[in-house]
Amino acid sequence: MKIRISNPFFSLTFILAWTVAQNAFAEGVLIKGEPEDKAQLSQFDGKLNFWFSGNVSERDPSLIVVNSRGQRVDNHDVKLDIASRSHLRATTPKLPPDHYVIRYRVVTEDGLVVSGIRKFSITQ
Amino acid sequence: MRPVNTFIAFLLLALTLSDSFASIPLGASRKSARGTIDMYGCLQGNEYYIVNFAAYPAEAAKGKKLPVPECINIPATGNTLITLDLLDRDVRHKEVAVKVLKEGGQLISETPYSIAKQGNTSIGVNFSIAGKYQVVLYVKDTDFNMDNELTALHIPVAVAMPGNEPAAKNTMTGFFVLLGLIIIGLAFFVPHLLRPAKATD
Repeated sequence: MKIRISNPFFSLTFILAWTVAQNAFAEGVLIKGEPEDKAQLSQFDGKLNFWFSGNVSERDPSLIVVNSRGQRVDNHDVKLDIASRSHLRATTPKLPPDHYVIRYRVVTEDGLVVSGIRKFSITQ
Repeated sequence: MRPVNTFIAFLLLALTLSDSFASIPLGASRKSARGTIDMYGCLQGNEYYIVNFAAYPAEAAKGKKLPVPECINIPATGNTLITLDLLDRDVRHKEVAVKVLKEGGQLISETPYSIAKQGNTSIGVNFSIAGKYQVVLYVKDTDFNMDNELTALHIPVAVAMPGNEPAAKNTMTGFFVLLGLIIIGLAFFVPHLLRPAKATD
């Protein structure tokens, strides 16, 4: 059976399949984070930076740091700059040597949540 | 070359359509806290965790149509199933528990700690009296090692409260219907437009 390209059914199927495929890749993605996961740092400048691609929204951003004793140690100053590469950032005071856990989160305009955990250590 | 030209034309058309609608979440149909249907649904979060809240009154489930989940403003008292979609992927591998409290802190329902392997946790509640309640999600976070009470997600819920506005019409359904009609129309008309004119003697 020959399928004519100008067949309306074929073209409709093609358009719908392509649209669905595009939607599957529309969510935000973490491009880069500082500090890196499992990093062991001799010095830490107190700055947390995460960059995301995709359609990040201003809703519910979060970036927190907790030490090994379960105490939150960031400055509660998370900021989100929306751009083609959205920038989530926060700061901490000078931190002593310890193991730390970072939780980050952004929400895309589609309502999808991009969140995760990173761990790093400050060594003596 | 006609089929090739036609194929290229449809490819360009599909690319254009997909770029225009790349952010539409297929299947999103949840009420927000304002009662409207939007892209975010009923997202509820604190600095640690975020969930999608859905309440299914038992009375609504009796109808033939699929019930539209309510957000934090539940219109009527009675038996209600509350479901929390755990949107943080790491939380789906940690033990979670849910409590429902009256406004004064009295516990009326709770679930034991368990791992929500399907990514959501549910609790049945009988909201016998209209008023304000709290649905609280506790997470045993092995990464954070923090007190569960400090990180718990408290979700305020109003049941049968005066002033709860009725849900707005589902505009998303109308949008997708319109989108479908546009695509069907293009699929039928564009091939005719691209067909070369018949030669005349």
